[in-house]
Amino acid sequence: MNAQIVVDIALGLILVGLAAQVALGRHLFRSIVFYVAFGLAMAVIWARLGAADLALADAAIGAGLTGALMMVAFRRLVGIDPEQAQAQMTRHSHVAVAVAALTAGLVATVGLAALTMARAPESAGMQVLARLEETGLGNPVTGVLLVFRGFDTLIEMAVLLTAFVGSRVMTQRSRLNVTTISGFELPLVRTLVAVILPLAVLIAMHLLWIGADQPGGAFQAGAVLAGSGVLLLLTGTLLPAPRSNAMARLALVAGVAALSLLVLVPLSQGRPPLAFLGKGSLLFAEAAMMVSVAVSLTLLFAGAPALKAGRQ
Amino acid sequence: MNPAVLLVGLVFIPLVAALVAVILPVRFRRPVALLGALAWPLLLVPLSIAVARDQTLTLVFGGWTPPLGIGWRLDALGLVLLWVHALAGIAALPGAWHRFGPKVVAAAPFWPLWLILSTGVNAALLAADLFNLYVSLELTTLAAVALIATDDGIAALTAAMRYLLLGVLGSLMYVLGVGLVYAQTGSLAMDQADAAAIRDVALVLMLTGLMVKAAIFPLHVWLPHAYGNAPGPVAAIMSAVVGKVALVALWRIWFQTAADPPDLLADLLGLVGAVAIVYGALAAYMQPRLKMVIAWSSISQFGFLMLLLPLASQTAFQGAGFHLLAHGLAKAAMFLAAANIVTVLGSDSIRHLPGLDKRMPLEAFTLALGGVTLIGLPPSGGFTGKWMLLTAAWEQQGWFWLVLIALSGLMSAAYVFRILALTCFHPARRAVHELHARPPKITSLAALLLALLAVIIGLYPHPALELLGRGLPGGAS
Amino acid sequence: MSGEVVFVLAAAAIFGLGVHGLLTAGHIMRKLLALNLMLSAVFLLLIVVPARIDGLPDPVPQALVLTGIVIAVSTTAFALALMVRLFRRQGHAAIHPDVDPRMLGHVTGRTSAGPQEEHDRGSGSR
Repeated sequence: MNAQIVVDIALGLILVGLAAQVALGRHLFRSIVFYVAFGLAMAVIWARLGAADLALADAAIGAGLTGALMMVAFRRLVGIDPEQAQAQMTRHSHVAVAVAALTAGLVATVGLAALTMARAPESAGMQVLARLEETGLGNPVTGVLLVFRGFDTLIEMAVLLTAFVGSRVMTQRSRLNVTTISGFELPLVRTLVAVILPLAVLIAMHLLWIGADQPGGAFQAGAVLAGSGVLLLLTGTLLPAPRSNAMARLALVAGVAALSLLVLVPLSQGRPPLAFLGKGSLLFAEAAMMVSVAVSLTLLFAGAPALKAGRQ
Repeated sequence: MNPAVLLVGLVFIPLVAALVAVILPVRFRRPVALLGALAWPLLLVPLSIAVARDQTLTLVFGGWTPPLGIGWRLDALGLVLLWVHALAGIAALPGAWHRFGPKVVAAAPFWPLWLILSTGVNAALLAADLFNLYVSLELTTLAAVALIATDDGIAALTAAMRYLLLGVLGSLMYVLGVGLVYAQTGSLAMDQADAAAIRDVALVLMLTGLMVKAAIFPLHVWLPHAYGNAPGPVAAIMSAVVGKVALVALWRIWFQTAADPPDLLADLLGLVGAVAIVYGALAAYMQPRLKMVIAWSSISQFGFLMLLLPLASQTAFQGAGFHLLAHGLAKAAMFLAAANIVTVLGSDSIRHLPGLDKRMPLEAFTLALGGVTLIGLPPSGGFTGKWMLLTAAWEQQGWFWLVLIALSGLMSAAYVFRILALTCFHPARRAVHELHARPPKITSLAALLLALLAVIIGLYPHPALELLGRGLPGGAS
Repeated sequence: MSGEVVFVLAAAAIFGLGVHGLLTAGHIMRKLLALNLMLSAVFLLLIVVPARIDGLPDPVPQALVLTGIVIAVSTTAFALALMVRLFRRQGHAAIHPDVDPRMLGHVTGRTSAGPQEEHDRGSGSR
């Protein structure tokens, strides 16, 4: 018990330290790098708390992809105007420090009070565990995401689609810029692609498959695929394409479309919307969601409507 | 058939149309969006009949009864706002159709986003679940921000950015509040089984988050620039429903989730509304641009809607709900007219307004009719709403609120008459600028019809009032 | 003192650091970083505060946070695209409450949703 609390305090201190580097660091790029480290520390804390699904998701999405998106956006700024891109523009103020300290104090007070308050004897989470059997799933988080609160997930996928379509408002007005890492020797690229890509696909499929019963699922799998998409873009194996194509657009809407089917098909059978259609339907929806997550995030990174093959 | 099943169409017709629009090539997107945007309002006819009969319609996803699953709920308030959404959306279509033709760069994302905005608004209006409300509002905000950015000007992009950043701040406060509610009660349903357990902190967090999204003073800073710089049709639909969705959510959380919120908080929020009414009207009076005047007027008019919290009676609810209806229609009409003025004059600086009544009589008339509703002159819908609020204040002997509502009409009159006087009576009624090509007449007529409607509902207020008479306060959730 | 207390305090500190970043940052990307920190703090509270069931976190908040993480990355990606565009148009990465010069003074032309830049047309249909 004592060792546990020491570990917890150490984890908490590391997390706060990294957050301080992000928020207070002088150089923007350095802050972004620390943000990635912060995301990884979050993942460790999720694992410590027993939230394995969140650990996987935060490592892949929160740290990895958010970091990659921020870095590539920073690069784009530097490409436009290096001086302004890195301009400090930070106003130091005692008022801000006071407000921040006050807010932190309030959040701490509220959080600590909430830890000790009386709780309802019955919660939705207990009901989930009690009725998970009816779905044949082993992972309660997957049960909540796809069955009990599947409509939230549908809107969430629509948010991802909207982020892509909305970003096209801006990116279609700018020239595509290819952000490859220069200096990659061709053999190395080949090796990377040959080893990492099949491995990533394998991991993604594994995460998708086990998601029903163990930590994992469409988001984690999609994020792993998006990560390898980013890698392929960086090595120049894939390149941003100026024009969209039907494949890319189908992949973008696949997740929302599949979840919409899950909502609408039961209606035709006279059942409530999103009534449970069996485990097979969930795997179908998760596969479609994985594709959409992977393609949307990769294209958001590329700032392009589609991809094409680059050097081989 | 259970009419509640029709609710699915309100969200899934625009959503599926958006998916189809994304898949199809650019030239097909506009017609698909038109079909989608015209199709879902048809459902409002049978739904209105059903709500008039049964008062509320409920639907539970997958048959998993809350708190396990997610529920939808359509009540009179939601129905009123759905009508505003439908009417303002249809009236905005001609202008959007004209402006975002297939040759325009922004048209490709515009039409899917337009449909997604409707999806998000309708989903948020139906949500009976605190977290589902959050995801629906996020969808709405993201689509709205992207639509504002379709005007590529620096002002519009800046406004979009500020709206987005504040929106994220608001939603993270809201989510923290929702998390605290769940920790206390183990449920995310909007009408909680154990409402007494909701702590004030969670309530304040949720309300603050929603006040940012609804642009309630002093958290309004994103609104004027966002509405003032968005393309006309976008400003119209946003002013008609997007802010109001968050406000309706705020009312619901106040009266249904919290059930018995502290009086002090009610008075405080009413006071915030009072300051908003005065401050918004003063700022509107001083704006140099027509669209900014209309946008700031929203801050002032939203202040009224906060008065429901301290007044908290059935009459006040009827008044506030009716105000929502009349204001939504009038505001959308005025933004559509302003959009045409910008198109023709190349600017909406009020210095260019003199003589407008000669050159663009339909637009000038629309602005005048909309202004009448904003001031609350009889027989407009704005009058009915304010009169009911006044009655509610009288019944409760809330003299402060009474004087405030009465004075606010004068303040609205100041900024409305400033515009009208410049337009119609300014001595320098000369053309100081060249005129650009006129948008098709149907865009002017659509705006005018909407403004007329805002007046007509004042002549026939009974159906809406009767529906609203069975709504929110009084704990009848 | 239990682990929960430690993590609540950490979340509060991170939230405060985010508030500080939000208030002092001029650069839009710094504001985004600050907001993401605050979101992480909120997510941490969402998991730590509710009662654990059989020694594991309640599955419902876990699902909510997973949804929140995906929404956060979507919003961030969109905001970054908006930031890059704003940077290209105005030449710096701060938010200024300015008035569109097109709308005031001399009439320079109608606002249009059409292309306004030299290379705008080059990049395809979507």
